[in-house]
Formats: sequence, C-alpha cells, structure tokens
Amino acid sequence: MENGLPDHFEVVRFFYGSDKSDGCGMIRINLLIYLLMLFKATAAGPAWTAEPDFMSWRLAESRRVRDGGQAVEYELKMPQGVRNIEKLEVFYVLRPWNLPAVAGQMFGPDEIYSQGLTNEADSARLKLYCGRLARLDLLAGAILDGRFYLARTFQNVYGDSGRSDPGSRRVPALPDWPALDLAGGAAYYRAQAGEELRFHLDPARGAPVSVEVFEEGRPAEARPALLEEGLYSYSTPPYPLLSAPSYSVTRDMVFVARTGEGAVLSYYLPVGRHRYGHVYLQAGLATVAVTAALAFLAVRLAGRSFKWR
Amino acid sequence: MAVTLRSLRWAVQHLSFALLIYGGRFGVSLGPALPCFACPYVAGCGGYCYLMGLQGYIGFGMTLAAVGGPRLLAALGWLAVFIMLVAFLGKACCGWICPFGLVQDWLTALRNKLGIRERRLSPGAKSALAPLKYALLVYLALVPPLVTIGLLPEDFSLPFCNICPGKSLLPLFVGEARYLGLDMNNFVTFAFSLTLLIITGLMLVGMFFKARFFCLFCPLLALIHLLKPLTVLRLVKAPELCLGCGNCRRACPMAIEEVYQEKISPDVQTGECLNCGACLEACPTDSALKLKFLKYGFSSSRPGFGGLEKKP
Repeated sequence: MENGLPDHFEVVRFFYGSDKSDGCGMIRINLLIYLLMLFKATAAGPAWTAEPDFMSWRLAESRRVRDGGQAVEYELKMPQGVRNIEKLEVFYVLRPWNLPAVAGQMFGPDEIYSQGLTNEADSARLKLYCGRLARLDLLAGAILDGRFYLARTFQNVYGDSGRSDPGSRRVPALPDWPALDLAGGAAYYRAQAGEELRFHLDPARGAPVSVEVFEEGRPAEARPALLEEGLYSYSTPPYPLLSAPSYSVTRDMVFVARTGEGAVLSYYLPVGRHRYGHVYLQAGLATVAVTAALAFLAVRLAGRSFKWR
Repeated sequence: MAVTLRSLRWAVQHLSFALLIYGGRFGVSLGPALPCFACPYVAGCGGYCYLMGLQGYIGFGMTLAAVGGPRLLAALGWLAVFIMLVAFLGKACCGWICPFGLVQDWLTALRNKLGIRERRLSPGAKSALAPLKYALLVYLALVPPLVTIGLLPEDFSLPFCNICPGKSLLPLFVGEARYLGLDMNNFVTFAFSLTLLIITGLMLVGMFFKARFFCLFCPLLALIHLLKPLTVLRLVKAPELCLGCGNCRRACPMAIEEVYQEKISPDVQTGECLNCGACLEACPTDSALKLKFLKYGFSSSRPGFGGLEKKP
C-alpha cells in the first residue's frame, strides 16, 4: 500500500463463452467487463477462481497534483509466456463522494480507456487521475491466449487523504440495469452478506438460464430457495424481461448464472446506489418536505395573487 | 342501495390499483404498454406505464431499425397493444384505472374530509399550463435518441421517469422509499433526483389543493388524447337538452369549461377529460350528457343526479 492506493489487484479468472465457442465473443467483451464491475472482490477472493500469480498489477507511480488529487500509474504484468493479448481494457470507477466533487471532477470510464492505457506486448501501463474527493475502484479485463481474465482492486481509495476503506460495503457506481449478452457461458457474482440481489432473466430468446449459488466453492443451502421462488413478472426498459424475485443474501456467497447461447442476463443491486448511508435519503426527504412546506405556504398565504379562484 | 357511477368508479380504481401495484407478486403481468401510471419502479408491479417503454424504444429506435429482428417486432407489438388499449378504454385509463390518479383522488378525499376547499386554476392559468404536457411528451421523445448517438450520457435515457413523481411516490406503497433519496452517483443523477424531489414536493401540495393536479402535466394524457380519433369511449352532450346550470364544470376534477360551453357539437371529449363521469352525475337533465362506448350509452345523466341526490 502506497499513499493509500492499492498496490496489487485480486485476479479472478472469468470463463467466457460456452464449450462451443461461437467466435463472436470478442465483440461482446466490453459488456462482459461492464457487468463484472458488479464484482465485489475481497482480499481473499473466490477460492475457486483466484489465480493470484497469473496476472498481476503493481503501483508504478503516484504523485499528488496541485488540486489535491493524485496522478497514479499502474503496471499490469502479463503472465510469463503469454504473448497473445487479444484484448485488454481497463475500467474504473471514480465516484464523487460529495457535492463539491460532483461539480468539479467528473470522470468517465472512456477517458481512462482512451487516454491512459498503454498496451504493450506483455504488459500494460495505466495512467489515471484520482480526484481529491473521489473514490477509486479499478477493474481490468484481458483476453490472453483465448481466455478472459479479470483483475480488480479490492480496496476503495480516497484521493484526498490517501485513506483506504477495505471494509467498505459500498457498491461501485452502477447503471440501473447493466445488461449482458452472453453467447452462452457463465457469469459470476460474489455477493456479500446483507446485499439484496435481483436477477433479471430474459427467456425471450428461448435460451435456458439458471442461477446457482455457491458458498465457499460448494452449492449453498440457499440455492433451492432462490430457484424455487421461480420467475415472476417484472420488466426493465427497453426490453420486457422476466426476473427472479429479489433475494437477500445472508452470508457471503458466489452466484453463478449459467446461460444458454444467445441469452440475455442482467442483474442489479436494487439498493446498491443508495446503500451508502441514509444521509441521502434524509436529504431527499428534507428536500421534499421543504418544497412542500414552501408550496403550502404559497397556496395558503398568496393564493389569490397566483390566480387561484 | 343503488350503485352510483361514483361508487363503481371508486371500486374499479381500487381494484386496478391493487392489480397494478401488487399484481406481479401473484403472477399478474399485464406488460409494459399500459396507458396509465403503473410504475415499473414499483417492485412486483402487475404491469407498467407505456411511457417508460416508449422512452426505451425511441432511444433504441435507430438500433432497432438497423438490426430489425425480434426486438423491433416486440417494440412494434407493444406499440400496437398500447394503441389497442387506448382505443378500447380511451381516457377511462386516466379516470378509472390509473393508480397515480387514485393517489390524487385519495388526497382530494382527505382534503374534503378536512373541510378545506379546493383551489381551482383560473381559465387563463389553465390554458397556459395546457401545452406543458405536450412539451413533456416532446421532451421524453427527443432526449433518448441523443443518448443513443452519444450526445448525452446514459443517465438521460429515461428523461421523464427521472422526474416523474410516480417514481418517487408509488414505490412507497410497497415499502420502498429509496427514490425519495438523492442519487449521488454523478452530477446528472444528482440533478435529476433533486429535480424529482422538488417536483414531488410541489405535486404533493398541488394534488392536495387541486383535484387531479398532476393530470394537468401528464404526458401520457397528452399521448392518449393524440389517439382520440381511434377511441370508442367518448363523452357526448346533447346541447339542446342542456339547461346551462354549470354543474358539470363545477363537478369536473379537471375544471373543464368546454362541456358547459358547448352549444352545438355533441363531441365534448376534450384533451383533459378523464372520462370519470363526475359531470354526468352532476347534470340534472336526463341524457344531456352521456358516456358512450361506440354507439352504446355506457352511462348518462339522470334527474336526481344519478342517485346522488339526497332523499328528503
């Protein structure tokens, strides 16, 4: 750990595609990585997928910049002997942590991807800027010799103070419904206790979709409960989807969604965007209350001047 | 006890509220093309408002047109379902089925119980507000394509839902208050959520003091009205029978003047009419006002105010 920045990444191997690869997986890898931003990695990592020595990252350089943020550079080392880098992308989450940060420091994943990543034969260097009040959460995916690998930071970092927050239960900034087209294969999600998950499964293409729950590498007891609840109607735009009911996780678990060819799988954390404290809910309720009170006074005291009759 | 139009409507409203808000929990799925505010942000809803699907379909319209296939067919299919529902139900979707309409009616009932008189907008203010719902319709149709071509971030993809008070209020009925929180993911989501909360506060007060206040701004009402030539449920008037008492405009939750003012044409189905039938019940003249389904009268005004008149 240097200046509060994570100095290595957890590595998770991600199996992409079915046994019969249809050859079109590469163009969908962006979506895969996007989905995998949902991963909530831990220091230990999923035991059944972690290969810590396979692909490694290190913090190459960090320096504080004038406005209080940090310019950092990570180096990604490819596994020895692997030369066939078909694709390498890095996504990151820099989430403004309070309002002043929102106003002045907006970042999007495209900026980093297009400006900061140098892809070489057996390594890559990622330059990025961590805003003063922003949280850094990195995710990198690579296809090496035909297999997809995922590397991700497991700690949250605040650019201003160098503080890290390894115990955070905060969820990376997510779109409401990140959808994933799978040519057939499996997607993994490591859920932590207390999370509420909701799976959206689209059977419109006639592709079989199932969800399995693993706990410490073995099918969890909760699995039947999840599957027996069955599908019920719920929809997300722009496509009508069916979904399984929301599911509350009581222990840390790994969910494996297995899909048939051409299936669409999307899932999201319905409370994820607001789970980082009730303060925003309280602020929101206060906004409603103040607005309503002002409007009420306006109606009661100055009704006629507003052309009420 | 005679069943009045009002009690019938009240019963239908509550049934549809239960169906649309909680129906999904019991396997009911009425699809994403409902011509009323059944909000998809309500977990376990029994179907949802077409506006959300419309924003999605418009946003992905170019993609859909390019790729064709089942999704394009699905989009066209749901559009057809929406048009059929509107053609069959007309504005009764608003007056009889809309869950958010019922919420507004509950607030009106509460105000009546408290003995607070309704505040009505002047005709000038009303006519000034009338174009707003069409402006919102244009807004929700124009923004999603800008997201599709990359001019706006994805957080704009549901521009109307992000500011719709149905999103913040209807989930409360399933115990979900998170849409009353500020969304701090980024500046756009923050701005949208703040706008939504301010609108929610204003609407709560507006809906309390003015019956069906939100309907003045509802783009779905505007969309349904654009399909008026297809609808088979209409409010019609027999001008020759009208006494000119003005009860209809006083009873109307939308304070529509045209029904009272119309002296020639039988067509009094205006853009803001909800087909709730309040004017029918308030009209003292037999058959001066009718709700007609095709050529068949569904209900009509009667002497004695449709059974509402108190017996001495």
